[in-house]
Amino acid sequence: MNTRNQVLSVLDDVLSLKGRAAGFRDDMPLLGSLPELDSMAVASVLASLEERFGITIDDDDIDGSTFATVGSLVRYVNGKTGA
Amino acid sequence: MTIVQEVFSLPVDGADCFCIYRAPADHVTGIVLHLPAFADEMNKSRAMTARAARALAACGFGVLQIDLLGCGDSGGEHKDATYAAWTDNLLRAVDWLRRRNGPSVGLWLWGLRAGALLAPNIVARFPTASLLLWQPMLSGTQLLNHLLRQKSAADMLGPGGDRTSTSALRERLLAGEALEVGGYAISPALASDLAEQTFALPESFRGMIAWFEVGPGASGAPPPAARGRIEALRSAGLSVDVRTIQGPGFWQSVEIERCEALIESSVDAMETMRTHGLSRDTVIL
Repeated sequence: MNTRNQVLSVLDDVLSLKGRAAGFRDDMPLLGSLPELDSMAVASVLASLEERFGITIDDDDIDGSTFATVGSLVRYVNGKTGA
Repeated sequence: MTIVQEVFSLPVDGADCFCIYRAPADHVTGIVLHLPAFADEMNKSRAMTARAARALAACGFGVLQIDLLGCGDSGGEHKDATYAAWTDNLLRAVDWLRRRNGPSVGLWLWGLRAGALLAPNIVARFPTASLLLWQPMLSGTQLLNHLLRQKSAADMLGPGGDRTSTSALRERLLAGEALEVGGYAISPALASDLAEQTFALPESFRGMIAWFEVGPGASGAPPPAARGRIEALRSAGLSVDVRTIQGPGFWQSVEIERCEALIESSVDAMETMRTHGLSRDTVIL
């Protein structure tokens, strides 16, 4: 599974999207647009990404722009994994 | 099998703890104490743990679930909670189970997420207890980071969109300020307890371990951090039954989710261990 699909799978699981995430395009807005993405969900998505990719996320790197769209979140993870 | 369910208050220092006990009506073949997840994760997993408790009771286990001091339906304030108080709550719960079923019935500690961090404190007193672990957190630092992230994300989602960094939040805690995360007050004392708590079993531990990891894309191998810890336990001569289950992360998912496969596999693992005992002995012989 590539990074994009894995990120979508994490979003789908944490946000209980029942498979909807698989159809998300890169420009799909996340923060402020997906009502499921509350503060606990943001923390859980970060923890799941760390676990899934074996990366350590520095919280000072994270702001609203990281979670702006599917594309911005995938770019962030790619930057951490060196993909 | 007929299951009896009993709801009662267990008196502890300064408060009463809400308890639910489920057991077969006739013969109890093992006793299980649930070590609950922390705050929101505990709330989200209530439906799952209740179902699992019923399933375990149906195969002969007497299962006790307790809301710790300041949590759920128990008395006391969350801001007054410490790991020492919670350990004391759990030890009293074990005493209740042993008074009810006799001291010779095998004890299991069933830890979910941050609940696993409480297990070392209990097995220090009951070194032959066995462990059922569901997606265990391995360090209190991990939990503390998670809570600080949640607080920080709440600021980010707030009206101003101003985000307080987790390092700034940590400094406020260290300076003696209590923080509220998702409706739970985290006191500086609890934060410092958490920072020190790890899933490190005492050398005296002689029980069996059934370790479950759950995820939507669970591939068969546990995540790297868990793998390291499992290898360390096995090198110490302990028998660890590791199973990965494909299913929703019910402790954190936005909607209340269930993972039946986890319950079925847990019942199977515990029945196997109850029947055949430690495979470690076989290996040594």
